[in-house]
Amino acid sequence: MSQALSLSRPRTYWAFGGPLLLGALPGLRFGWSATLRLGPSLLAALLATAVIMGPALYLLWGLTGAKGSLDQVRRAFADALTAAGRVHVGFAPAVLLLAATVSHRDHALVFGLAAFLGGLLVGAGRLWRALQPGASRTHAAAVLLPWLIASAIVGCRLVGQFVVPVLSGKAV
Amino acid sequence: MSTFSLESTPFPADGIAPTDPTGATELANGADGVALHIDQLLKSPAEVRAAIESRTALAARTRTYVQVLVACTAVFGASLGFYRGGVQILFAALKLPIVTLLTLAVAAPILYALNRALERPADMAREVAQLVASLARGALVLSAELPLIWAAHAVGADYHRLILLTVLSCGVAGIVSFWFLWNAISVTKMGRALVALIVLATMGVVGAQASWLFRPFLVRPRAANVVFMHALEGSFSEAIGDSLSSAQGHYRDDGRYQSRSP
Repeated sequence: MSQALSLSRPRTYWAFGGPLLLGALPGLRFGWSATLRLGPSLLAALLATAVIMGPALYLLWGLTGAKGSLDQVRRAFADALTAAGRVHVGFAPAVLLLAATVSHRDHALVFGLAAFLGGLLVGAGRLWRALQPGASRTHAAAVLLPWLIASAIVGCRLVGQFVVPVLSGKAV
Repeated sequence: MSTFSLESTPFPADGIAPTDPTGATELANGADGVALHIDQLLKSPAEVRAAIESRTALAARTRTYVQVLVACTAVFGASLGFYRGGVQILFAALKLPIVTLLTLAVAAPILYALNRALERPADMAREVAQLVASLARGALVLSAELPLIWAAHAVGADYHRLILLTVLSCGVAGIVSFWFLWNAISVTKMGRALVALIVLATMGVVGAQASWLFRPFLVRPRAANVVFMHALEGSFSEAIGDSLSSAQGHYRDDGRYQSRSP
């Protein structure tokens, strides 16, 4: 029931729609197959990173004595993903223009990934602000920065793992 | 012909407050309104920002600023086209406004999305007006710099110097434009640096690519043919890479790099 509810929320569409769109637009330069598979690949990489790194954030947050229940951290995380999704959708016209007009299709993918990272940067900013009331600025930075670096490493690895096979025509 | 009366609508800079605060709305549809909006944009950018923020005559303002933007960039483009003459004057006069409007169309959604994402006040109409006003102010600066271009034509400046002068002129206009936008974004302090950084980067990349797409604007006089748009080849970033390679002594030959060293 709660799963059905969460799927009916508009913010779920933002969070899911942004990466799907940003993957599909550069994919147009690689053919229909890539268009259909790149978006889900980016989304899968994002969700996998969230699933792997999300609990770690809650544990770090709690272990270091910061205030905030599991629900508050979960809500902050969901808000951050929604914010990132909104920005991803906002980037869509720019990525479409750039992807359609660069001569090398690899560059189209670079622009798509840059916009994807831009959205995640905004999401990280939103997460920072949402969690800050539970701890001092130094405390929040000491927890969030290493967590963000680790998430970026895991995320980049997963994006590579999901996206490269799509471009080379192999199964993910 | 309608003229702008200095007595009926005093300049804010004169220290005389307009007697009717809704006057701007009433004037919005007339030629006087257009003149007032342009004059405000030139002399009192802070008032323009405040008017946009309070949605005073927003549609009329935006319409006027789009007209200013198109007119000023068209004139600047035509002036660049004069270097070669002929149909290039028309081409450049058409292409520069297209590039600017394309950049605007792409930047507006991202500014709105960023405002929403960072829990800042968000309103698409206001965001469009802010962007149009900032670009129009930059376009006015470009127009003000036109005498420099004409002087360069008059003294027979060579192609490369004219290119540098054009880049410099556009750079100054861009800085003025950004400063207006920064102040407009700064009405809400929260997250303004991130918003400005992302919008500026997006507009920079998209503007550069759109300019590259619609090149050339400045054509050597000896060029036999001019084209409205080149076929899809390379990109702005590649052109920068080529220039850097050339500067290091590696030149392009038939699409491949050739090194001077064996």
